[in-house]
Amino acid sequence: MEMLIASMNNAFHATTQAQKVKDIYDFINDAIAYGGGGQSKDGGTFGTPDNPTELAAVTVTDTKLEKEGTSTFKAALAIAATTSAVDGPLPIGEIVGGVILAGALVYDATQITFITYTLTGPGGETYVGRSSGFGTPEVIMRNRFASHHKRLQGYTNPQLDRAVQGIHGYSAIRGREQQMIDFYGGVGSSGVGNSIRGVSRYNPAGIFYHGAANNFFGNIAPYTGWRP
Amino acid sequence: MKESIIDIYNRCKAILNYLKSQSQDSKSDFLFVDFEQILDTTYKSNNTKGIAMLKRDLEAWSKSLPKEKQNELNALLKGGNIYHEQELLLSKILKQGQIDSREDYVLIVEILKDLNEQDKYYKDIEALEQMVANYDFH
Repeated sequence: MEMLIASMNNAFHATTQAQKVKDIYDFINDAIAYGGGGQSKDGGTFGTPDNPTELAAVTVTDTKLEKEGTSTFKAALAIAATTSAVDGPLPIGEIVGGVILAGALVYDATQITFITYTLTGPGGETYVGRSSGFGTPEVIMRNRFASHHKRLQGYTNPQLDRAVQGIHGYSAIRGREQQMIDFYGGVGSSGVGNSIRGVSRYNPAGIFYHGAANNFFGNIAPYTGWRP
Repeated sequence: MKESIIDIYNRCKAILNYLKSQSQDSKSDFLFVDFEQILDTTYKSNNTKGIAMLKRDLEAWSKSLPKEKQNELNALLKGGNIYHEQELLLSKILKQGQIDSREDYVLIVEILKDLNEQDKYYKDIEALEQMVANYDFH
């Protein structure tokens, strides 16, 4: 992380065009190492929203983070959702109804739960959203959908994507929402119903959210956010 | 009066430290450390737009705290209610009965994602969603 921030700083403060280009190139490489993902970079594969099992098995960030030596992010891998013991205790940390719940081993109704979900538009396009609350992921999604502006525009079929419990889950869900939008083609593409990004292109924390999502849920799309 | 960048930075730091103190998962402490590094970098590079975004994100993040903890955070913060700006906007939009700018639209869509049952404006979700849909239509 420090390395990433250092390269962002370098690019920001570069005085010549050539230096700026070089520093931005370094930043992008560092961002990929931080958790930006990429099939060609390390031979790992991205999971797909349609296949949570495959998603949860993605460990590309592990080797990348080891390369960078960021022990803090490695710690997150211990609590990332896995499917390694699908016949073990449910529901948190395992797949429930196709939804991966991450971030705690025991469900606690007193703690906030963050979710991502999808809706399907009249033309088959996908809207990706996020929400939070103190009920189960299903209840949170249903409550959100009940008055959702996209429902008023003909969107149907609410589907849970991912859930994470505890206040630390905010960043991972922010990143997941944006990765899902990018996975379906990004804002402006015919396959996406979102009219604005989940994380602004100008948000300096974009790469942080992206990395957090990678660590909690696995990577499904390359980083498309803020660059210095 | 408009907040200076150092005021925003200090406010962000205070919110972040409080969130970290309330996290029940020590294995996730790195998230707060990493966010703090981004905050520091953004401040040092004098990125006013960026730090304003980080502030809004932290305010949204703090909504994940139980209500009594949100109140405790408010009491600790200099400069008053953490949700003041957001509440001003929501109050204005509800009074107007419509969203009349792209900037407000983006902010309202973001706010709606972070409203939960503890929130003062939770009861207004339906009206706000209708206004977002109306904005989308025209």
